[in-house]
Amino acid sequence: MVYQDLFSRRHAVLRSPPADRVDLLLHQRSAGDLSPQGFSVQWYFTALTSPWFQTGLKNSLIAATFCTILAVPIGMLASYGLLRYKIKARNAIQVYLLLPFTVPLVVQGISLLFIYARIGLVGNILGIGFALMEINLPFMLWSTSSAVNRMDPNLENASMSLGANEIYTFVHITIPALLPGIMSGGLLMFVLGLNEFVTSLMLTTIWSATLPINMYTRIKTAITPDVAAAAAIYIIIAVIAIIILDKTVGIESYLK
Amino acid sequence: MTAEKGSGSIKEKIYLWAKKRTGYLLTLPAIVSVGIMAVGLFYFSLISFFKYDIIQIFVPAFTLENYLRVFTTEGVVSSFIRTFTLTTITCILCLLIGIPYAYFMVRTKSLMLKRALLLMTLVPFFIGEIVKAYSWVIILGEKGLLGSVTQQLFHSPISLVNTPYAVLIGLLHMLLPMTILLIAPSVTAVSEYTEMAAQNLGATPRQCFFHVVLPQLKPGILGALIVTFAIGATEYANPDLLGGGVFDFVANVMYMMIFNAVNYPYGAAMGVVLVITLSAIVYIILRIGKIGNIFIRGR
Repeated sequence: MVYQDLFSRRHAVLRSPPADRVDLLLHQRSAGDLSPQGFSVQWYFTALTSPWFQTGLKNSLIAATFCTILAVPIGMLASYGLLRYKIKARNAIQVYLLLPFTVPLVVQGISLLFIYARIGLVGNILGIGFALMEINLPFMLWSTSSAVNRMDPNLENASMSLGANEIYTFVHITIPALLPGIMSGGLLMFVLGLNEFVTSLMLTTIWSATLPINMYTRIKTAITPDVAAAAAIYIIIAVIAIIILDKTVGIESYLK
Repeated sequence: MTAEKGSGSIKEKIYLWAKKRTGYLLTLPAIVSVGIMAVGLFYFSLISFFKYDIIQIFVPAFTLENYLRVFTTEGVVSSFIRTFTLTTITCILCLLIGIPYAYFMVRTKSLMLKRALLLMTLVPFFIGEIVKAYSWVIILGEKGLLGSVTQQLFHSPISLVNTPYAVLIGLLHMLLPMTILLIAPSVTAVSEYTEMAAQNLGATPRQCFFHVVLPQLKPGILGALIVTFAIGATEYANPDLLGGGVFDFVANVMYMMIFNAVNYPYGAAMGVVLVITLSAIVYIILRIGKIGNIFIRGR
């Protein structure tokens, strides 16, 4: 177990912004007791007003929004093309499109880091948005392909036989029919994007760090209840997303 | 006039060419965006053959030394064994819990229960790994819930953090919702009439489940197995926060090698070995199961 001695890990401390460490030294925060001691919403205010939370959340929201904007058309077109057209290499393409799952996120992060370093995108929030889209693309395909599969092809045939061309049919018939899949996929991409950690860790600088990274850094330095407050906010986001999903397409669509 | 006609026919040709390949063209954006990562991956695997240099990090001289080191270093080999053992255990547990759960969730007549079971899988599915791992640190830690309860009971706190069990629990919590959500559609696709027919012919509920339902669930189960195995074996945050550096997965060791030791070639070699092993496992599962479509849902 030599490597563990060699690389005893203080990476998080190195990563955390200097101001944070000063703060830690000055206030001597206890890195310890997690058992509940009285009820208070104080930590929510602490979290909500602290810079690590605010900038992290802002970066996460920008990246996740960009990720969703990219993922919706890409995922929809790909699953439509894969399932509705005769493609000889369908299996090969499917295995290829599953690469974001089979290649470890750490490897994907480093691979994208090489590319981003060449074109100067390291630390760019939109670059992170693209990375989020790429690594979660199979989830989007999973959502949209089920909608494509459930759609009745006769709808399109009827539209075409009534004189509409392909593009008109696609915009006015196909997209509305696929909307449930697009909704659930887009929402999933947004929420997964807000939560993504490993790949963002490699592609961000401390100024463009997303919220999960800032939380990780704080967990590694000192466990304070404000991280728990931030985590609770994530749970609220998840619940809101599911409510939206239920109101629009119905959560039962996940069973089909 | 003629020129216009000519350009028209070129347009026509392009149109026909595109029409023939619409399927490919529609898939193109997805292929390109995965391709950007794949190009980086190619560069990454190239580096794994380079020589490590303390000052330049790597020099482009072909060597297999990095791979040799991956297979001969005890710590790295044990991290591979640990990763694949724990992921296999997690996947088996996921299937053992997930298949009956998905079956019950789809087939229950009570709408309330169905929605409650579905919510219980969707909420963790929508929460990220950091939040989940952190919650488990709070629950399983010495000064957390488990610690304070065991302190009360046995006067000595028990902590599961930094043990394999914590990593297993964390992985299970992450992969189980995915397993259930990937299997549920194929349960829906199983016609209830086939079960009725089997029961009519005298099959016990147990025989019915194992001989009639389970074979029909095969594509869903194998799809879930592929996804959960791939995600589990490449996990980074769970072993890091719940294993506390004493129970590292391959991804963690690789990360340390690249970002802490700045030995890119060696880390890259580990990454390549991991990717190849995983791809082989996915390919074998696909071959054994003879399933062509992974993404298909709602047939």
